[in-house]
Amino acid sequence: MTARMALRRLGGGLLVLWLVSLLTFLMVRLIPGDPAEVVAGENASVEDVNRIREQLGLNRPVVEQYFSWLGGVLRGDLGSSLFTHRPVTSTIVDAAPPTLALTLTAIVLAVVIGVGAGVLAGLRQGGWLDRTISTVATLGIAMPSFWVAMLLVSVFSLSLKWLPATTYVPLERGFGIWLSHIIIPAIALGLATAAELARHTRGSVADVLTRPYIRTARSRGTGTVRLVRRHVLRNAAIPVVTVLGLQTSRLLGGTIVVEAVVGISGLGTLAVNSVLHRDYPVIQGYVLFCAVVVVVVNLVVDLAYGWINPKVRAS
Amino acid sequence: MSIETATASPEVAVTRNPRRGEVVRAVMRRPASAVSVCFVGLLVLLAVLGPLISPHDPGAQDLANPFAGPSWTHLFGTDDFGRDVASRMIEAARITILAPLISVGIAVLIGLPLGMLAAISGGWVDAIAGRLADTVLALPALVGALAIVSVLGPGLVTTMIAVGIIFTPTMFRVVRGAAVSVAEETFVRSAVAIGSSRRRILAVHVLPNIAAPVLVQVTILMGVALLVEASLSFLGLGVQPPDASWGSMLKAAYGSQFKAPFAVVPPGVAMVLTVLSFNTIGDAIRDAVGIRRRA
Repeated sequence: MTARMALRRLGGGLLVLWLVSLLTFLMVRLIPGDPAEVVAGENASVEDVNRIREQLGLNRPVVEQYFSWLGGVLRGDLGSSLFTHRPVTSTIVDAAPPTLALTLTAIVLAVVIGVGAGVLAGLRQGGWLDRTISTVATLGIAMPSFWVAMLLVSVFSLSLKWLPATTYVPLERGFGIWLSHIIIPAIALGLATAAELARHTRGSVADVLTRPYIRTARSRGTGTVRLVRRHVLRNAAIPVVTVLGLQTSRLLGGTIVVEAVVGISGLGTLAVNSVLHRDYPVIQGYVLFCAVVVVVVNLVVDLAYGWINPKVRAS
Repeated sequence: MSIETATASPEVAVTRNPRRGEVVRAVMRRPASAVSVCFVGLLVLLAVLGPLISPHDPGAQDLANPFAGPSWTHLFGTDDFGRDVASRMIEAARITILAPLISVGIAVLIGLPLGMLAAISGGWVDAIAGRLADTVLALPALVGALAIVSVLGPGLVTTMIAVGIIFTPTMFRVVRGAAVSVAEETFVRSAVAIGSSRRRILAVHVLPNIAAPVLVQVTILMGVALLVEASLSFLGLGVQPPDASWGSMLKAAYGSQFKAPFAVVPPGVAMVLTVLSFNTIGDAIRDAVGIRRRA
């Protein structure tokens, strides 16, 4: 990837972010009726409605509203919650750690299990292991993450009592207790991603194995382990990065429901509560946050693509 | 973003002129996809005939007999009000089938014409539509749906409209990609050369040739929509009681899982089987269309 291409991608990403910010801004203005009255609820006093109108900045001309809002966003000031009156930025920052830990653990599990299973299936094409892995992967893609979480809680927490059922424990309280709390939601969240990774890895391993350089290496007497490490895994890394990039959206969305099942108060729970309370500044902040994450991950994937695969860099 | 287009184009190049009936035959020849088609058919039948075949009145409460386990009278047990779970699932099948149809319908209604228009016009129409699609795609489906639901208010129909809006860019991309490759074909150029109108070219030459990838996308989106509906209903934002979908049944079942741990199984299994069927049918259509190229 040349510097010019990277800059173009960056520009594209910034444009998308600006459009998202425009849509998020317009969101509140699209509420049917008077947004301030809708937010305040049916029994609100005139003062309350006026206060909310002012807080949402609805009492000024739209263009002026937009520029002052955008200025705030660029400074990291997303306004404050209509209910807790705390700044949106710090509300989001406070809610982020459990969600981040959950997502990262899910990704690690998905990569280890998904790539491992995919390589095994690819090496043993058509065998029983391959068929089992493919079947499980197909099932894994069709299973809603929150249902998986329910089943795991039901089996491992309520029946067997091996694992605690709910809440998040920060890593500072010790790795063991942290892991015991996060393992169920992380598996539930990462399962579909693992399945998707397994499928794609299997495909690319199968593809790599037909190449002449593999036959050459085999004829030189290269052992399977070395063959996989040196030739197969490196070439299989490309689809893994691609799939992971595409899965960011699914994982971010998945945290919303998985957090609800296991009672983690992270970003997902914050988002759902804000929607139920019509706390628009927080919703806007959350939507922007997600868009930034997705755009940044896409950029990183594009760059990583060129870094892993020299062929892309050259073209 | 570039990667998506890179992976989408070979798939598009594959889909060329499947003969009438050929795709259907190919799908029905495979056991897995034939079973899937039958399963979806059965589900539609259950949804339509629901009240006639349901073993009990889905609304009838038997407060003396809540949380009963599976038995011959109550195949999947009873819920917190002693209602028959199997009958309620049959009733909920209606919403479970209808809800994704709303979303996918909206995605097709907006995405199909826009995608074809963008492909054939090119230039600024294409550029603007593409950027808008990128923008909506920058949001996870569930997050975008949450944002739209926060504007329109909770409820099944608004929720599924929201999901439909979120799906539109995906449909747009697929249609545009397929239509661009069709537009380069000789027969389209010939049609342009003999002065066919744009509308005629789109309807007679482009639409039949992009039907296969659109159909693949429709089946896959049906499954995704079902999962998103279930998620939103589970969060309490989708279907509102007394109506029920499998997602809202799961929510209720999870609330009482200490008393009835089995209750989360039937709606979940039904959901997985349905999504699995849609995915299998989608894969089969894709393969059927792909086989032709290799032949």
